[in-house]
Amino acid sequence: MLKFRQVGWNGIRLTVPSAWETHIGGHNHLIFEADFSPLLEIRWKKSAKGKNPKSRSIEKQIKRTTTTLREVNLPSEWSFLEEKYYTTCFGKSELAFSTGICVCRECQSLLIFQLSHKEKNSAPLLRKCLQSLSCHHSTDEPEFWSLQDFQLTLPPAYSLIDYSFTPGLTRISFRTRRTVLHIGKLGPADARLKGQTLEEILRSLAGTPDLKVQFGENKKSCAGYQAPTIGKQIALRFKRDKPFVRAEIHHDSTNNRLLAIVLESLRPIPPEICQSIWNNYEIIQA
Amino acid sequence: MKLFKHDVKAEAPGRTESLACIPQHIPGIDWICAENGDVLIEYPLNIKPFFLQIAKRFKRESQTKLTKKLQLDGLGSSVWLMIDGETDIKTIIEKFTENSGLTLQEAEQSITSFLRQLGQRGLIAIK
Repeated sequence: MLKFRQVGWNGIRLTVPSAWETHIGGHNHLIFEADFSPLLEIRWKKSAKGKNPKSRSIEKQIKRTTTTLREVNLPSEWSFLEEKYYTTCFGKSELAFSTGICVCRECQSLLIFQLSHKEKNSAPLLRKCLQSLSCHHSTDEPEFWSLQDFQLTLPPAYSLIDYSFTPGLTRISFRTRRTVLHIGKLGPADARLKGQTLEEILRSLAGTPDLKVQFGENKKSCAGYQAPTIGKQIALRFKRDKPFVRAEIHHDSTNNRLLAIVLESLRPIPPEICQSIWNNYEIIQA
Repeated sequence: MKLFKHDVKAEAPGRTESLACIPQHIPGIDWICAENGDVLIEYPLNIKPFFLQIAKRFKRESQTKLTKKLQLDGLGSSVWLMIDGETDIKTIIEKFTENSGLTLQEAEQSITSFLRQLGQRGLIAIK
């Protein structure tokens, strides 16, 4: 029985087989792979309020793609796309449909997807994945982020600013008006904790030596807070650093991972914010 | 006007082809596996003849063989031991993922950069 999981990245959600690897190509670019070869690639662009990106954006994309691809009719199996999107399909021949340009009928987001039909079995799976694709949600609904082996829900006010997926350290940074949030995942935890303590890891992630650290009850978590004096606040502001920092790290021994969050702000950070993020950040059980 | 023609560069292999390649140790490189499992590699230094002449003048031995030692950590050693001239990079990545606790994506990134470094030092060849 094939297992599925939901992937969420920067406003896009879709359900894909758990065995597929998800690669991040950019802020608005996802690549799904199986057995080290790409199966599905999605790029998207959210429309600015009040602007309809349909005609101009599609025109641009068509100009770029028509050198190698030509417009083909949407195959009947893929007609479900027409329900949610204005769809234009491209392929190398009439039979092989490989690229689709879609504009959401509701939120006007532009989506471009590319399919790889190397294996015949993958076509129904690809259809199932694209059927689950959604690009707009209600404004009150928290934003869903799920990749690799973790998932997180954040208030919609947090927007993605940066990310890095280096071996053993995953970091995603978000920004609100006054606060910067860094989400971190380190692994394998046993190897990390051989060389450093939880406190040392937390200090290096937070990037500040003045963090007042407190251990949790079971010694598997620790939290730190920096609230500098007014003089130090001014000095830090001169260096363009955010003076208030709240950081927390947890050791998930079941999954052999370390989960960390670091909040930086110009104003004091209430502990409830940190707690609410923790409640929605977890490792997904395989 | 042959003189002004640019050399046509060979096309770099794609990701799928690269992962299907088989790495192998370069013959003549000494390596030992220590008791703790770490691998110690000793390999000859490629020095330009000019610098070799200078080195010879300062050393009295007639035949100077300059070598460099490289100690790999636990993860590096496990990858080095997996290189047997038969296993392809894709299989090495999959095996490494099982043992290291990293994700497939992380393992691919770290192994490809590790193999690149070994290749640059002249310790492995890719076939």
